[in-house]
Amino acid sequence: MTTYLVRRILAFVPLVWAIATITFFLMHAVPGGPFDREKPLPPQVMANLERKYNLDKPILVQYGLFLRGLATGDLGQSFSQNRPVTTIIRERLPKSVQLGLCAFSFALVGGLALGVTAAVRQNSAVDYFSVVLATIGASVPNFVLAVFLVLLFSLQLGWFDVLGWEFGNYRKMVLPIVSLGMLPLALIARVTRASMLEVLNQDYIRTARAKGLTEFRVVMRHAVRNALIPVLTIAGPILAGLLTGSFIIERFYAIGGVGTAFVDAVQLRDYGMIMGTTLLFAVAIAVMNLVVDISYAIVDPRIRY
Amino acid sequence: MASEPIALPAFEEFGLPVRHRGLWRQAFDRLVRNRLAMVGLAIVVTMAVLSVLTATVDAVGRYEPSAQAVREAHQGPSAAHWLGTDNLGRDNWARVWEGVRISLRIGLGTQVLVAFIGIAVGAAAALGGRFLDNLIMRFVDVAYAFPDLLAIVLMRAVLSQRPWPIIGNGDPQIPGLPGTILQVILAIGLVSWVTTARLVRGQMLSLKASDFVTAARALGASTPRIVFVHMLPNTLGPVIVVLTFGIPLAIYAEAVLALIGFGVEPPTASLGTLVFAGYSYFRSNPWMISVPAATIAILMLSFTFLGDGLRDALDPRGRR
Repeated sequence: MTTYLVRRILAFVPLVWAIATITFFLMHAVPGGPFDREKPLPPQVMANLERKYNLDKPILVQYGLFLRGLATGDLGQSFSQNRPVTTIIRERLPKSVQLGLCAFSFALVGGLALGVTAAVRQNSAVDYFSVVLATIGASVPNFVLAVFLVLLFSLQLGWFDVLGWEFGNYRKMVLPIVSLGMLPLALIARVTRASMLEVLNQDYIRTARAKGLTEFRVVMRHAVRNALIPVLTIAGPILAGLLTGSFIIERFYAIGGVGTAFVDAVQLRDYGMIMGTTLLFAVAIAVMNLVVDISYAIVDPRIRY
Repeated sequence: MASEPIALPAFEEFGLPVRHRGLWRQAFDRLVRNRLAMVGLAIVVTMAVLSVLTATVDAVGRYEPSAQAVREAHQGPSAAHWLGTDNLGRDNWARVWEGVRISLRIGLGTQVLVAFIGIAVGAAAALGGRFLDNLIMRFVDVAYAFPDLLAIVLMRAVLSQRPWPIIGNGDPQIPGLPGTILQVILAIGLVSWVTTARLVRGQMLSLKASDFVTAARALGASTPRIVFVHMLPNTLGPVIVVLTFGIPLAIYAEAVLALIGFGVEPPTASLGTLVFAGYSYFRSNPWMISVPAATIAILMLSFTFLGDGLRDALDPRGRR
């Protein structure tokens, strides 16, 4: 297990390098520079700015300087805010993480509950409801859902606020969480249902019933735990999707998280911020895939690394 | 053994016609029997036809999508404007069908690009030797780790504001395909081919080792013949499924681009652009945002139904 972990974590290094390199050359290929204004700056000011941020050097020299900074954990300065990129990300990260984790918990709890109930009561009303929800939820885009949730619950009923995010204030939390979490909830419900149906037909479930266990215990201890593995498989991509997909929801509800920072950075050609946010997302995805792989071994004792 | 064809007496004895049904024909029959897939297909075809009719027949289109009538701005549905009007008094019915036309074009165009790149790269990886395979697969690994939407946004930014012919800004050089639409198609397509390439590679690798390919080689078939006549048609089923599911994803990606201001540029308006425009008038005129938003959802849902049906029809192993 330790060797496996070390090998997987070491593999992050070439991955981060590759993603950083691709991002570096892509963002420098974006037409226009970070200091382009509608009214051009005086050439002297422009030259000074470019010298300050090393933008006057050849691209390969800039690339070398960037790699040296990256190796020491320094992502450089944000051109638009004139502060270190790491500081800005640290400020904005909590909101994105809160939103992402809340949406994930919502999806996991809701999806599992719906999937398990649907499978236990196959062909009941709950089952049909879960199938319909899983189909629709999986193909209605999150921003469309956001539009209609806000129209109904904020503007018509006035239950929740239209904009913003504030941890602990339900008026500012429910709509973003539901908008972001509905798609993963649908996916989890679908996978859980299919996997539970399969497990419930196994011999050991009949054995558990035969020895007189309560139905609740059969389902919760014997069935659900074995049905979790396929759910875990999709949990990794789902978490990754929640992180990167969140920028549209962040934008919609005007939540100043990392996703919004990325979008603003691309519009402003803020090289440091583009790089910082992209790398953050990529590393987060890689870490989450690793966590999922490790959790396989915890859920399924047959898997050894 | 004589090479006489095996007789099929049973059917004729019972007076039944002999029906030779190929694999494609069987798949097609399975698709037609799938009610949800047929509903999806019907909606997609209806929307495509309507979006073309609204552009060509005045009685269906009713208004020019870009015709402004400021006095009639911000109206709800009425006999004159079935789906209301926007902030400049433009008719939502006409605008939304123009949006469908653009979004469909982007969805389909992206998948054409994805099909070409995906099949070419996947086949190259499977058939081009170990070095090429390694190189491509390492790149695919990195591409998988790169968040798709971020890559699409970056790629779109790279392609924007270019003086290039055909895909540059300015007057459209291909009728009906202005440069900014092509930029969006390119940005999404250049990021989304990875799944298709990986799928084609896997299919090709297993086909390469299959008995019928060995048999074809033993009979002296040339490599191009084996690849194009024997292998490619056999990879097409799963590829069609992936491409169909790719259409709603591309429509979604385009809408996301539009929502952050990187979509097609005015006066062209995709569904995403319309949602983005409606966002500013959320409170005063909910019709302006809800009509295109609902249309995106219906369009994506229909393509997903169709994709589900195609998957069940084309992949007999996955059927229950």
